[in-house]
Amino acid sequence: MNSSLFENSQRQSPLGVAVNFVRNLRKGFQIYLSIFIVQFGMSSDGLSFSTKILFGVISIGFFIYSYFQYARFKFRVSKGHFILEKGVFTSDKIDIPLSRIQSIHLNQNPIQRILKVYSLKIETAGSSNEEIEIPALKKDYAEQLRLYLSSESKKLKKEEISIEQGDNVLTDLDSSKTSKIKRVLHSLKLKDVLWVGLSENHLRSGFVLLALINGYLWQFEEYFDTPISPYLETEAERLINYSLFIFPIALLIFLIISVLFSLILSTLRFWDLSFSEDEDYYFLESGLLSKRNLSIPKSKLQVFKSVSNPLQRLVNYSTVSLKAASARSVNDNKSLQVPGISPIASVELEDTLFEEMIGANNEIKSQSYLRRRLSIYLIMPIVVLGSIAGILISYYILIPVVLYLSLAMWFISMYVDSVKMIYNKDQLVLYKGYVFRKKYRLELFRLQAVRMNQSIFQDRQGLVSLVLFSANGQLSIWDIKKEEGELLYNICLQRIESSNQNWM
Amino acid sequence: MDNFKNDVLSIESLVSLSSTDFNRLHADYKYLRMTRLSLLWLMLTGVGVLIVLNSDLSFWIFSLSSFLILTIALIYVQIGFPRYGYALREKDISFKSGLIFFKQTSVPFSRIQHCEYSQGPLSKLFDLAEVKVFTAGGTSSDITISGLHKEEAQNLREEVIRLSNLNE
Repeated sequence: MNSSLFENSQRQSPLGVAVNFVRNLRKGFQIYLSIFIVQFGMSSDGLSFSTKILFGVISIGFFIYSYFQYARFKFRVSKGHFILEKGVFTSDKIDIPLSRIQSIHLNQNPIQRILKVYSLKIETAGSSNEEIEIPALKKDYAEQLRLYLSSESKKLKKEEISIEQGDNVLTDLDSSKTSKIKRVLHSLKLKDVLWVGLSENHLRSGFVLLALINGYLWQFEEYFDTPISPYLETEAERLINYSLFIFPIALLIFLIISVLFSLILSTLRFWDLSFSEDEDYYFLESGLLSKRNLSIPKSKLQVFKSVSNPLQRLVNYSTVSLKAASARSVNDNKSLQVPGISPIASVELEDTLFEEMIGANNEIKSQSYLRRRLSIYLIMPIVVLGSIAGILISYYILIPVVLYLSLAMWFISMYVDSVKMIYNKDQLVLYKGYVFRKKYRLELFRLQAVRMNQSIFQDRQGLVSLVLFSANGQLSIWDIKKEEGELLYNICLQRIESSNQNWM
Repeated sequence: MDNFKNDVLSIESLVSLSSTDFNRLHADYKYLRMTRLSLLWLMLTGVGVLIVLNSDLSFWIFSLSSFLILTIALIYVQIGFPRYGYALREKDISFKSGLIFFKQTSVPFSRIQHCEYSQGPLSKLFDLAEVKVFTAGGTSSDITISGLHKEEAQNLREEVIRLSNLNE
């Protein structure tokens, strides 16, 4: 590889100005919107001349800023370090040792696709360093840079490891040169994408949409008020008279919009999705407007999770998430979400990820205590509030309360039946949930801490709850017998402590 | 997965963490917690007195119930104290606490990111300090071992660092 190519300080493609410009415009969208709405609030007859000039000036300002962003953005590779200088008003110099590079991604958003450039993202381990992005690179150049960085980083990492272990450096390097073949495990066609969209959790999409709209409305509430409120006042009375008809219609409209919204979202996210693997990594590529390209190293896989909702079970789909550890924080955890996998394929994938669970399988079903606890949480408040309201206001209120109670009792018994755990000395599988059926599977040595909780109520029943902490979130196991809990607690600890495998 | 080793692990050979492994905390920690509670109680009662004096509520009932609450809280601390403790084993460190909601956490040394010694203003009066053990990713699995004598805490911290370097 021509390494001298990257040693001199250099800029990205001049098209970076355009990419920066669009990006700044998007960030500055709020400014335009607020000016527009303030103007609209004062008089509703179109944009005035001065507003147009204001928009023009702001746009030119953005353009100049974008140019300087481009001009001051320089990078080079020297002596095993990737060095980036940037900043318009400040001058930042970022220095990353190549051995610290975790992963490199090439991405394309719609603008970059039109301009035929790629952005290159470098992720590093640990520290609060934000990830580094070079927004506009020509395709060949980006590919070269990526290959160069990843091979250099691998070389340096190998050297570090081999120094520690005293291994032969040459054999390691040879093995890293063997070409890697990507194997596609799962891909979605247009029809699948639509089905995935149709079987999403529509209620959630609907509420996300509402929250989004509400967020925008709330910011500019007072400006909307002026033109709209006189109309509202005259119409309010009429609307109340029709509320009996309006409510179901509104509900229907909400549902339809929610379904449409989840269709749009899933098309945007999962278009042309392909999930593939090579020797060391899992890859997930998808996206209609902006291509997302995620990868996680197989050695860092922490938890396997599969979820399905009732709609998905109807069309035989489930969503699989592969979670990897992130050195930064739990919120930032990396996970690959693969939607629209059939249960059979999901099990096959699981089999390739984990060794078969053999020997001394212990199965633990949840205890009746969980049923009682859930009943207290879900039923008691409603019973108390409902009966108070029933006595004070009207007995008709009791009808929905009774309906809710029978539904809740049925749900609780189904939920409690669904909680199940199977483990042996290496692995643990946990099933949870009736409506959203979840299955977790993990290798015990990947855990990083174990906790046992026991309230005095549980103490009387001889029960405990366990919390297993991995570097990617936690897993709770409720209300199991104390002896079983202690056994699992000790098995987990022993497994972690006797393992010298790389866990994170 | 090249260095995968599937060690056989039989249940009989399992070393379990038993309650005898745990060290009690320093007795002064009990008095520290009581002092802390009393200070909080004083503040709340002060506010309460102001409110009661400016209303029709009976002052005697208020002060009686207020003292009752304080007594219950102090007894709670006294009874709950033996449930606190930490255990230092060759490969892991554990901490347990809580009377109503008992909680016991173990962190293997190979999973510890770093370890911290700290002393609050009130702890200074009692010559007490605490040791915090941090794990990767999030704070929910970190443990804080409070109620150690100053020197004990310093020693514990050094021991944890030594052992976690050993098990790296």
